Amino acid sequence: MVKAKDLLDFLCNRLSVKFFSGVPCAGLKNLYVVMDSKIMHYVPAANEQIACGVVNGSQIAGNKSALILEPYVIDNMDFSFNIDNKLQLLIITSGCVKLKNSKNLTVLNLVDTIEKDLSKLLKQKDNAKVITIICIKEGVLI
Amino acid sequence: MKKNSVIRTLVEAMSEEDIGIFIGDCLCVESINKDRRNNIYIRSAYDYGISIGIGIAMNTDKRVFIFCEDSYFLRNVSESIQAAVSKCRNLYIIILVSGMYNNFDSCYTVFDSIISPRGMLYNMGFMVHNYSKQLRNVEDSSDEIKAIWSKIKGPLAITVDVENSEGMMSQELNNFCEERIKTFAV
Repeated sequence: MVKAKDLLDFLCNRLSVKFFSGVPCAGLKNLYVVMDSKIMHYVPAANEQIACGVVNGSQIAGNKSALILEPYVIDNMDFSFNIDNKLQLLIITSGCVKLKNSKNLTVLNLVDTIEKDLSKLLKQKDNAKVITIICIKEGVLI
Repeated sequence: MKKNSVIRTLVEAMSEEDIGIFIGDCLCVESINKDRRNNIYIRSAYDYGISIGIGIAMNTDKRVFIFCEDSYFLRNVSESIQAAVSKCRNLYIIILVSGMYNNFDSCYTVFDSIISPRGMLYNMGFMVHNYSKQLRNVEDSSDEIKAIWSKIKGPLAITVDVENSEGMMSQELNNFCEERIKTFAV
């Protein structure tokens, strides 16, 4: 089990991700509850494409950002802008995605503890894979 | 009025610090002659150019000018709604209206069939300007527009009527656009 507050602290303080955009993801209800405008900024988007664009814009502006999406949407999304321009993108979702680890993609499953499952993110440098997806398994986030 | 002369006048009205985002292959080709350090070029294939501008505007105090065409605006109208409701005071969207699709002189867009396109933009939440007559009648109106922009805050939508043009991205230009995004710093 992972506390939503701990996950948010990890993202905002240890990864320095302070800008988020997305459309509501049912499995991450607990995360929305603990969101705090003092340490981060969340932009609700009209649709997934817009959320992706806003996050990419924020990344281009030099701020670490993350996208919050439903898992079934991710499977059908086009990340060619990020891949072509080598622009890193962090996606947070619940459940499972069909996408598998590949040349440009890392999928990290959060099933137990943040330290164990997401430690890879702390070691990532500029040469990391372009797209990183954090999948939070059902019932893990409390 | 020709698309490249409209772009030239408007780019000259921007200050050195302003960020320009040009969306669509044709606009990239037309605007590359007026390249500035703070310009970003986004190909038509990526369907979230305006959103990228919103993301940049939300993370900087610099003014962000997004140039797009009516065909792109119509295809991604929800992005404009997002831009208007974001209430970013440093966000300016310039819609170049040719009423046609690029490279297809006989294919009309439905922009001209909208009863009141500027009313629609106003209802979204934009302040709306139309520079068509100004740009057509005044020989060099960049100083005049610069003075207007210095006083007006966004989100501002500007419509300008332009002639249709053709423009295809070369591989070289595509590489240049990708490199610019990689090295861009606000």
